[in-house]
Amino acid sequence: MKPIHEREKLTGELRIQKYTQPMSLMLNIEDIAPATEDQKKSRVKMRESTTYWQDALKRFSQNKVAMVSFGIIVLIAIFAFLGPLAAPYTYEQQIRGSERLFPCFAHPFGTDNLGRDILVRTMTGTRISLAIGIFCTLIVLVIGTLVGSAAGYLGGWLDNMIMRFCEILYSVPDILIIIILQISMKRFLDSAFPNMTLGSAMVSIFIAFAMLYWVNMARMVRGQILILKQSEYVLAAKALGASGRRIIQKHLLPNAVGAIIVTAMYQIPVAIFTESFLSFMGLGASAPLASLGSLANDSLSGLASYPYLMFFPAMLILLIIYAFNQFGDGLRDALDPRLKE
Amino acid sequence: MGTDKSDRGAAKTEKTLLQVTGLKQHFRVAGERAPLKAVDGVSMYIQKGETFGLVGESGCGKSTIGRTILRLYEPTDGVIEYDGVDITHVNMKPYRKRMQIVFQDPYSSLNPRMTVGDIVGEPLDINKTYRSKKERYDVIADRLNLVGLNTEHMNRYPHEFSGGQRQRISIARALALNPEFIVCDEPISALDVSIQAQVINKFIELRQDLGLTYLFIAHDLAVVRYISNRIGVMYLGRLVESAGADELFTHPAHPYTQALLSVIPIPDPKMNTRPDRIILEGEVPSPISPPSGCYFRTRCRYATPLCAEQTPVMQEIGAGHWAACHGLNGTA
Repeated sequence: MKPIHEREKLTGELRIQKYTQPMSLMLNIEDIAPATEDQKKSRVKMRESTTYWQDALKRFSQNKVAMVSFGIIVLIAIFAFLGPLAAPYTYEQQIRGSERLFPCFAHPFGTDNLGRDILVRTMTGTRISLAIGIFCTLIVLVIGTLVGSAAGYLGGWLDNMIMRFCEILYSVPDILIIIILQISMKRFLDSAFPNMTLGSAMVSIFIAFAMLYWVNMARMVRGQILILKQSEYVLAAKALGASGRRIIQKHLLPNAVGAIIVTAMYQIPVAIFTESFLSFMGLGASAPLASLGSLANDSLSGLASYPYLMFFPAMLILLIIYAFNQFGDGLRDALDPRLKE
Repeated sequence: MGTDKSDRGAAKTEKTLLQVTGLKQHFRVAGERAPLKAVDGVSMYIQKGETFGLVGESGCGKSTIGRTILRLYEPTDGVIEYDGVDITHVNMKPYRKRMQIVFQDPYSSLNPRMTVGDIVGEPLDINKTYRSKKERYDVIADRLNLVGLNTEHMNRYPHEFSGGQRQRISIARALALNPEFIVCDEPISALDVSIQAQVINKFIELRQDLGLTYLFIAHDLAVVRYISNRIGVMYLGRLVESAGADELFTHPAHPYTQALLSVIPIPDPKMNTRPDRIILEGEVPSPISPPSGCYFRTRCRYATPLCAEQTPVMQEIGAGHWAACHGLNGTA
């Protein structure tokens, strides 16, 4: 038997042998030795943790219709907000000698009987529609969420009062309220803000929308809060001594946020449609300001001879409302965890 | 009713951590005149370091007792004393650190929008028990290790865990503030049988290591016997019998306890049914309109006219063995 250090040398030689003789059956012990703790650790890979929002984004991006709708909304927004800056005319500019033009290269959407470019007027009209949709929804979001979560969380007589009030508001025809508001606020608004480009009629539409449409949102939020309030994690937070404010902020609202966003998204097309309808009836945007509804109304008198005056604004209303509805559907599917399971 | 004779079920000693006297918890039910009597006059005590098991059918008020003791519900009547102090109407804030709860359903007791680190750290955030981020992290990591989870799990969300793991997260949250008393509200009922043993042993291990006192609520009698020092049996919002775990299983005194114990399956395939099985007739009466006198009399095979007239009181029939039944005095 050789001394130990000699034997080790031998294994070293055998190792070389192994690689020089491919058919050799000799194994190198080092190759099959169990891994050390450090080596094992280097192999451990933690799976990426996905948050709720990452999950939702993934689901949303897989929904083709919703993605296309989102693309349409982005395009319309660019059209409405950047388009007027690039256009050579303003919406109120009357171009002499270019009255009642059929769509052509200089005026792709044609011109009206005063020689105003319909493309630019449609752009500004779309801008107003989008602004109405988004601002009204923001107001609705704030009021509805505050009132709804207060009613749902506190419950009792306060909840009762708020819900009865909501039912009353709900049962009043909204067009009626808007008209009454417009008439009664016109004098006040005109004297308070005399140089307003938007016009007192538009401002009262904002106010009326905010006053009327928070009801849906408040009801929805209240329902969500009532369900979530029963959950054991809220009870656990109470057992830990959490304040009501913390429970609403950390536990109730984050879990209701999906439903809140979806409801808000559905609110946008409703607001846009109502505004278009009111403007079409002559209750919204006043000349020379144009909204999609008032453009459609302007085209009524010469509809048989100049149908394109009606076509473009009507088409845009349709596109906007369709895209927002489909976008809302996609968001609901992506954000509502109940559909996930 | 806080001081009537039924309170004698609770004998106070120096080592008593929790003492409940004549506890009542009535809920209003929509469309009903009478309240739902979820808990109707329960008296009991739990000593420091012991585990008190609470058993009974579903709907008998076991969970309600646990939650009322923590003042998650405001008690209708009765007195809750914790460590010698009456906490029935005080501000619970200082006691939240000392008394905690683990819930039944590990799927609904964790907020799906919070990471595990934030869930276990929430008690620390609420009670502001740390001075630096590091301190907070250390406590969370320590509690996760205590229940057998890794610090790597801190940034994950509850949906990424199994039922047993989630229940351990719940336990870690309950332990975050170093409590001395934990209400275990059917903590293993929602888990697979194979996982139940794991979690039960974790509870026992923690009790030994941290010197915890448990109120262990369950409907599985075998589990309760395994973990508890003393057991209380509830029927329709009332405690009908309480005794040491082995004493209760070997000498059940109340007819309801006898019936409950007689239906525990024996793991023997040759035996189809237990010959000594007592089958209870009828349904559990509604807690909105319970029967007069003894609540159990409608299903009791020994019931006499006296049972309909008088409510039986808890009486000591052996050392630390209490039961409420007229039959014990030979009057039924």
